[in-house]
Amino acid sequence: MDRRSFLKKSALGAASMAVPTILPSGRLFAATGSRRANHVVFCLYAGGVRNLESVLKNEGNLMPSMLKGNASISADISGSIDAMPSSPLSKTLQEYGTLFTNIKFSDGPTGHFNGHTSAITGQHTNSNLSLRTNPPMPTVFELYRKHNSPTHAARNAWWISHSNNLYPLLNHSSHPDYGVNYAANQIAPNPFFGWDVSTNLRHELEFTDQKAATIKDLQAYMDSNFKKTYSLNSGVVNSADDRAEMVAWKTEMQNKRVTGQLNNPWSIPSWMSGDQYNVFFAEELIKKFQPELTVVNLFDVDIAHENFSQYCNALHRADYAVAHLWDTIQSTPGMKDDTVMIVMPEIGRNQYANSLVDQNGRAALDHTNGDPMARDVFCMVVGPPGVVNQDSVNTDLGATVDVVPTIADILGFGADLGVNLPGSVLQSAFS
Amino acid sequence: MSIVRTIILLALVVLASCSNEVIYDVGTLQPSSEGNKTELKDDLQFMSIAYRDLFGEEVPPGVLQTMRKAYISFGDKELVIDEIVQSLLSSPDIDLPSNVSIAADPTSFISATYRKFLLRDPSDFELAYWQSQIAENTDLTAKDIYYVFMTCQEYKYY
Repeated sequence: MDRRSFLKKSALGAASMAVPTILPSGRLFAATGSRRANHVVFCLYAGGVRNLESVLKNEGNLMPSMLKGNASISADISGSIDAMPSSPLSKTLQEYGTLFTNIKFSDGPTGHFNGHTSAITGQHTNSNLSLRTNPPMPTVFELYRKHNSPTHAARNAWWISHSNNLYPLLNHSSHPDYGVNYAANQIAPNPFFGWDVSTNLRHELEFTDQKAATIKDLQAYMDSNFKKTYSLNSGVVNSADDRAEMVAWKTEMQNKRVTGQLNNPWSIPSWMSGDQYNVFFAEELIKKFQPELTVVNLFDVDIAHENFSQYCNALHRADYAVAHLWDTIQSTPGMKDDTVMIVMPEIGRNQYANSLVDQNGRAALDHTNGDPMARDVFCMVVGPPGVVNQDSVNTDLGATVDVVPTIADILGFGADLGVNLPGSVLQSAFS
Repeated sequence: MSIVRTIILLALVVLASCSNEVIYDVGTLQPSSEGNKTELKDDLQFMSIAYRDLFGEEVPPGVLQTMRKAYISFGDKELVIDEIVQSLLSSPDIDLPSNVSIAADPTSFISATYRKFLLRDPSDFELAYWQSQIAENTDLTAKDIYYVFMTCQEYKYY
């Protein structure tokens, strides 16, 4: 018996016991609204991106796969911008949907965790937001899972964070009506599929069918004598079948890592960045599980604190990655023509530079509360024709907290939410 | 008719009198051997203790860091813990009792395993249960039995 089959069988009992606890305590029926699409991928083009270097193209078009225009990159930084392969898309990403150029991070400290939390919960935050615990307000994952059919298990919601620094906390909240029972599966692929973890933690015991059955009985016996119920340390609970699939996928990725198959899988002329690897693993996950709700986190642009030119280079690399992601979605059965992708930075960056100057004489950029440019971002909503308005630019004022109600609207549970959201659906994106 | 009835009656009396075995029914009572464990190990405690239990030494910082990295990088903590336990048990550096030595003295092996992982002696009931299981399932290895102990509820507490 392979590991996957054993996991399914051995965890069956535990899963059947766990099912009642993961069912919503309130509604137990499907969302009342109709869906615009059955899949949403929210790409948090994060780390702090100014509109100046993105949609306003102040340094030329650093994002040629996503944005229309051929403006040349500023001569003084062009030598720091790595060449990327041609976009896999037949046209720019913005032509597949609607580009919002006037989105505000309108309230709260302009920090990354506040920005991420606001984008993922749809709520404003303040300086009291703890960096050590899950946020108090429900995340979009919990809203999606609670206000939908109980069959929408954790395998349908994924939070793919760039790193382990704080961000794993955002797969669920501490809200008493939501919480871990409605959490998303969280993964930080770069460390999880890193060399050290892949080489040291991919070994699995092999059991014959007969031995697997025996071990299952022995485990049941051991637990029958112990009256306490093990409560996971804020871990998401998957069904036995889903867990077995995840183990199989994890092992496949780890085997590819140790056999060198993950060395520059996109054949980037130079090397693959952390953002690009994160999107690569997001694509692998999407191909495997076709989740209904996926949030992918990019973060390399935060190099802007110390190096402006490399910030521009990170924007350029992430641009290719996001286009690659959309191309993969469109070639994935089950996701093709049935997915809306939203791309938005969590915050902007300051208008005024700090004192660090890079190799090209450009000054670095922080993101502090008092600078209005740190609150200006763009948002792109792309999707199938007939669902999303194609090749459209919208300059109306919007907010980063609009993304969560927009996702709720796309997936048909906007009318069922148990919390008040300050944002509004980005209606003008839709046909 | 009355003869038939009499024969049936006699047969019932004989059948009922054949067995004089006394059965002591303990009803719904279950043996409980929680070992006074009340606190759930946190992730670092679990990984450190698991390593020490198997290798007999403190976990090297680099190994703990790798396990910790895996733990916080994936949301399904039970899945990750199971993977970590399997990886530790797959190490060729663990000194495991052979099936021959287990079969020669299962009582000592069972008692040592309870003390090793659960920090207590087995109850008479537990000892008898494991003795019968080892006798019945001759292909069970020490690694299999360690896996059962390291994935049980009680091992998650201290």
